[in-house]
Amino acid sequence: MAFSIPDVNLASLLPEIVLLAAAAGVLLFDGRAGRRRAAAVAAAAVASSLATIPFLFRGAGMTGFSGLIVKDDVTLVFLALMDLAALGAIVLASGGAADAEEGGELYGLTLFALIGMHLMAASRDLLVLFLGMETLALPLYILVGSRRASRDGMEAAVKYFLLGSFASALFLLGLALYYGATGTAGLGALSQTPARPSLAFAGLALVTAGVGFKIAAVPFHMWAPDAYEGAPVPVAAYISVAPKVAAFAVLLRLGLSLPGPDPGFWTQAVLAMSAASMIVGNLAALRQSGFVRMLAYSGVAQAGYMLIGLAALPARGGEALVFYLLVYLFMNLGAFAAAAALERREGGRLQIEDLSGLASRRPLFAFALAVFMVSLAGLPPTGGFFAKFTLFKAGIDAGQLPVVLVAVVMTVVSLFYYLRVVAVLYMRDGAERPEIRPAAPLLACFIGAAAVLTLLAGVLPGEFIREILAAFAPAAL
Amino acid sequence: MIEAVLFWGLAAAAVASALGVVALQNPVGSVMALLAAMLATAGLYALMGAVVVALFQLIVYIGAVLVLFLFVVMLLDLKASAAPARAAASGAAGVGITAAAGWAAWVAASHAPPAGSPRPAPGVFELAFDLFGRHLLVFELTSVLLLAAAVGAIFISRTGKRRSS
Repeated sequence: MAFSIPDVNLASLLPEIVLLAAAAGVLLFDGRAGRRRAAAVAAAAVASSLATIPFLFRGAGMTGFSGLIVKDDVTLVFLALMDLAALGAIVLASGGAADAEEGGELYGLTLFALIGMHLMAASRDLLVLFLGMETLALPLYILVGSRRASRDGMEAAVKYFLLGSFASALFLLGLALYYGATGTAGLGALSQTPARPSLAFAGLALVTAGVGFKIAAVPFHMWAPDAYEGAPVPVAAYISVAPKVAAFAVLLRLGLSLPGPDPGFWTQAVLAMSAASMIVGNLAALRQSGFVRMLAYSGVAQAGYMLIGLAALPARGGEALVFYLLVYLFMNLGAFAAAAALERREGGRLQIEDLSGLASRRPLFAFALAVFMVSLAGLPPTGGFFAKFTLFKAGIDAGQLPVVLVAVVMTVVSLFYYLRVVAVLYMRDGAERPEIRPAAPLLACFIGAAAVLTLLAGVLPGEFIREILAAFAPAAL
Repeated sequence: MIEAVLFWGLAAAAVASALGVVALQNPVGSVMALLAAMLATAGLYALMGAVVVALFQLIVYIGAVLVLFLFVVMLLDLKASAAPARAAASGAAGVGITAAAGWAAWVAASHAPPAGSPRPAPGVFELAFDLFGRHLLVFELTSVLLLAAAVGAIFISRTGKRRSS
């Protein structure tokens, strides 16, 4: 047997290698000053990864390890989104509570998770995908429980870990079935009809379930509210956005690998997941009084909207999904950043009632929060409106009218809980509430930037969509 | 002839020790029975000519996993408290699952191709070529995953306040 050296092309993994070096490096920092330095190093590593993307974009793309790693334009867009999310999470965490006992590990684990997500988005092989998913999942379990003094945090981490391990086992079983049916772990085998179709589809269903856990789609959403609420807010912000980007990159790759436009079994499953997520997420969010818990259920519902893009796949679904993810990144990170700024002052869990009368005392802050809520609800003139509009339009164009109708009805339902926050901010008298100190400058800048971008995406959606369209152009051909 | 004797001997040892894992009252005894079952299975692999798999069974399962089991069992200092919990329901479930597995094995065996000259089991060379060729990326990524897991484990298990800095 001849030994064939694989076409390694290590340059295709250069950003990930830089991230890995930084992840290992920041472990050396300790103490309060060390924590600040660790945040700077981690942010620099993520920024350098982000900086490589414009050079590769619209190029020939990068291929490494004999096709196990493919960085084409679509992948690069997803990588940019998750890098932005990680950068946001690092900024949020860097203003962390002064009595925090951890050193650089938090940033190291954040970077490890980012490496896992990069691999998920860039791989065309289920085995690499699985390793990426685990490299993402293990640090997140730890991050959720990183406030070890808090019982809720530990409980959330254990719940997240147990359910996550179960999802990984499902994925692995699916991988085994898929390998048994096709003789390969590569996704390319999907484009032909496999020798044993039922076995291949059973494998695909289990793989989709394992990935569905990461986007917290119903019925794999049980972990989300507890994990978001138990985790430190910056970690919750990270979990609510970045793994969703990675998992949707995977699901998009799966959907694009499937043969033909015929709405087969996989599309039906995606539609069912989408409708269930929208209904369960929105109805549960209505009844929440805690701000972060409300955002958690809202995240379940948002995942449901995004799944419509997958059901509309060979057509325009991909672009609509990526645009939605981009806007979701701004508005959701912004909402969590606002929660982080408030939580630090009030102590304990932030209730929606705690926001009473904030508008009269901190008008700019309240305005930013209102922008995020209006955008999450999908009202003009924010990015959320155009994101929903393009997504629903793609769904209708692909002939998935019933699920779009569910989405429209559920959007109306969601107005109640999103706009309740705005109403509490502006129309409730909060004279008895404690005085609020101004946010840390970095955090305030972050919230401001997120609000501006959310508004810009609503005012100039064309500028945002054009680049995404360009990324998808070769894939659509 | 000698192969048949070895096979039946190892198979009987595997079944007997597997029964011991569930039947023994003392948890440490259960772990030792599991060790015997693993050893017998490794012997069966070797008998099939799959020497590498047998070696891995020895190194990974007996050398690492079982020792870990033993540590955990001894650290937890389990008394014979588990005995009354073994209800009839779990026994019935065990019998049912074993019957199902046995049925599946029977079906598989009866559908197996006639014993001819099987493909030679891959040896160390083929395995190494595959691992450092086709699966080089997966192999390397495993070490990244293990590093992340080690960092996480140390982070979560560190007790008390850090030294004041």
